[in-house]
Amino acid sequence: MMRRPNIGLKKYPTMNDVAFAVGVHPTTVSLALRSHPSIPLATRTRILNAVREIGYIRDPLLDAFNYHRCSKHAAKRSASIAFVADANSASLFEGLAYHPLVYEGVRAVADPQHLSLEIFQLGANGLTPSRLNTILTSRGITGILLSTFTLSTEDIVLDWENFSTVKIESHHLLPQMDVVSNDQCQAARLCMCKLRQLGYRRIGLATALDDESRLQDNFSTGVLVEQAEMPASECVPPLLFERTDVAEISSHIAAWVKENKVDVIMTNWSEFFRQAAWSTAEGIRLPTNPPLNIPRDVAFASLDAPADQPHIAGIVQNHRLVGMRAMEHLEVLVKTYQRGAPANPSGTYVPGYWRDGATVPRKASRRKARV
Amino acid sequence: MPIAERQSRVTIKDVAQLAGVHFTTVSLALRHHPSIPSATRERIEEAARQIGYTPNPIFGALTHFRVHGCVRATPPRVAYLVNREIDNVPHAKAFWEGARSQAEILGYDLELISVREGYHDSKSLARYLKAQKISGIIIAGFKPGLSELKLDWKDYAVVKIQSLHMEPEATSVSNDQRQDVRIAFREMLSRGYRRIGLAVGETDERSSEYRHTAGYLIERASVPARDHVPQLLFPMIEDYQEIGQMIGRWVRKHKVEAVLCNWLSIRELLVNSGLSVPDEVACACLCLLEGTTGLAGVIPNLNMVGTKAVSLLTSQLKQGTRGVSVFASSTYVRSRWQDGASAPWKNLAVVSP
Repeated sequence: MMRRPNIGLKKYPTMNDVAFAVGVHPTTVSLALRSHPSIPLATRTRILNAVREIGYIRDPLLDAFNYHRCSKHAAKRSASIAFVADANSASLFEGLAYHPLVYEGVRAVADPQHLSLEIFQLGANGLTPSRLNTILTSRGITGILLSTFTLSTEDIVLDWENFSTVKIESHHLLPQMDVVSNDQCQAARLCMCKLRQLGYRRIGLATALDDESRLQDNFSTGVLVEQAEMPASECVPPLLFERTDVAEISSHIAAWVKENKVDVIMTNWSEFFRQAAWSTAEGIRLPTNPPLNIPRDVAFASLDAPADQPHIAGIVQNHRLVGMRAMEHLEVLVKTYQRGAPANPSGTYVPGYWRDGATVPRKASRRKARV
Repeated sequence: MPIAERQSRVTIKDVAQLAGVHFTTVSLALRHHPSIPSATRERIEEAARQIGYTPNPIFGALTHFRVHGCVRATPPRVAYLVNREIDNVPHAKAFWEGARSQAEILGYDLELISVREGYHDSKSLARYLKAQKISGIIIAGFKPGLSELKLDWKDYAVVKIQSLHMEPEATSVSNDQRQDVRIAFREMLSRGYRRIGLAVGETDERSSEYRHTAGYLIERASVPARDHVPQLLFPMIEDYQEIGQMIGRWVRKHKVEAVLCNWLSIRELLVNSGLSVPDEVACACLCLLEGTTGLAGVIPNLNMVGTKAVSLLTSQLKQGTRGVSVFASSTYVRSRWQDGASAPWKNLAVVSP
């Protein structure tokens, strides 16, 4: 009863074809494509694979029709979103893969809702805030995601009352808007718990002063909360350093490690792993004074473990989820016409998780006792 | 055209005629568009109520289909669960009001459901939610020690308002207690107080994951060690007198100059224990209500907490997220400081020229 299409006459694959190939009902395909919870993950994966294989896309004619109908209102209802980043933070788009992860999360929420996104880099190619303001206004963009800004950008002057805005990470940035960020306080607490489980007792937090003010002292708060439950003999005073050059900071850290008998450094700063090569047998030898070997002299746990250096143990931050939460938040603000800076801005925090790595070997408790 | 015949249903145009505006204005007003002045909006809403206008679900569905490419049926229902009477608890009521108005704006039907003795237990609640096809839940300000909940969480999208002491791991919203303490601490410091102490209810701390304490620890770390006061977690007991005495003893023992407390009755508690406020000890409340006078402290925007809870829940429902969330996010809404007679400037002579 199924009519075969004429050979040579190309037919667009339909949902029915996908359903036939997978052996489910077309409505199941429809539900699966919209991630309906009634469809088990395994089935959904199977269906998505079939969709890719068969090359099913939504009927372009119907889509065009819908687009045409909607476009009559486009000027008013196109809720496209500006993803605004700092030209200074452009490096974050490479290397640490920070921005791309956040952006990926943002798109994961925006795409299914047909919200278009555009990246703007303030300060690059002469893009001033006032020029940005003009562009956004003339394109009818009402939603702004302010991605991570470095401390040097303190205030951005736009006609904020015309836009719904959500900031990512940059608590310091004015005006005060709703913020979505990684839960640095939870990261520090979880990291300390894990390190203590692994046998470490002198856990030292080292972080840049400007990071702490950018993140509202969240790392220190986490450390203090954990230390409140620990014997005083195991509480190491945090090292807050000025952001100077890598060698100088490394030396600071080395001196502080020696002075406080730190057995594991806990930090969001892992630049010195780029000064020397890591070897599985030797670890890494830092050219500091006194010289420091990780993990022989001191273990190392990152509070933002980079994806490209799996030997570094620590907390992996969910940058992608941060992007998702930020976009969800913004979408509601846009939809409910919440423009301008809120009287009571909110902060949303996304927790991270622990990852084992060679820089934090399990400590033999016997030996610790003798030392 | 004979209007009486045609009009089987009240339309947006009838509302427009009654209010004396264009029908597009009515449409915008009912969706709270900012271009419509609030006076006009209220007039239009009144007119709509008067003649009993409700949006036509068929047109609604058609428009929804045109814009989103799919049809939406009746407004989805969402449950707002509480485990105590909220009418007499101003804080709990403020959460509810914020949640209700946001649900209305976003097109959800929010239902207040009580889980406690004489009302639903977990079992009957599960049956009810299933029968009503409700899959979105807000667990609103459950107080530790009262009824708790056990549902098959994988069937529901859940957002919690506070209630951090209990299952499930879920997206949560609260006022920013950590920041509230930090604001209050700094305000007291700037008024010339040195030995600043934190006294909070133990159950309140449990339901907020000790965030008052966290804020206190980080601020206390910034003052000299001789000014450090150990925080007081007082138990939840019926006898307010006893709690007052406990706080009084702690103030005297540690020579506390200023008390930060999350209870509205802090001033009375101190006075009842024989201390004179603000002469012997100053105080600030960490959870002041709008309109309270005579007491200094931070005023949280609890309406906004309710609003955010609904926003977060609708995002989950839309994406089909259900069940316990491994990386549940927490959202905290900032509060603002209010001066009050309970915490005057210590050296007025220095301040005034």
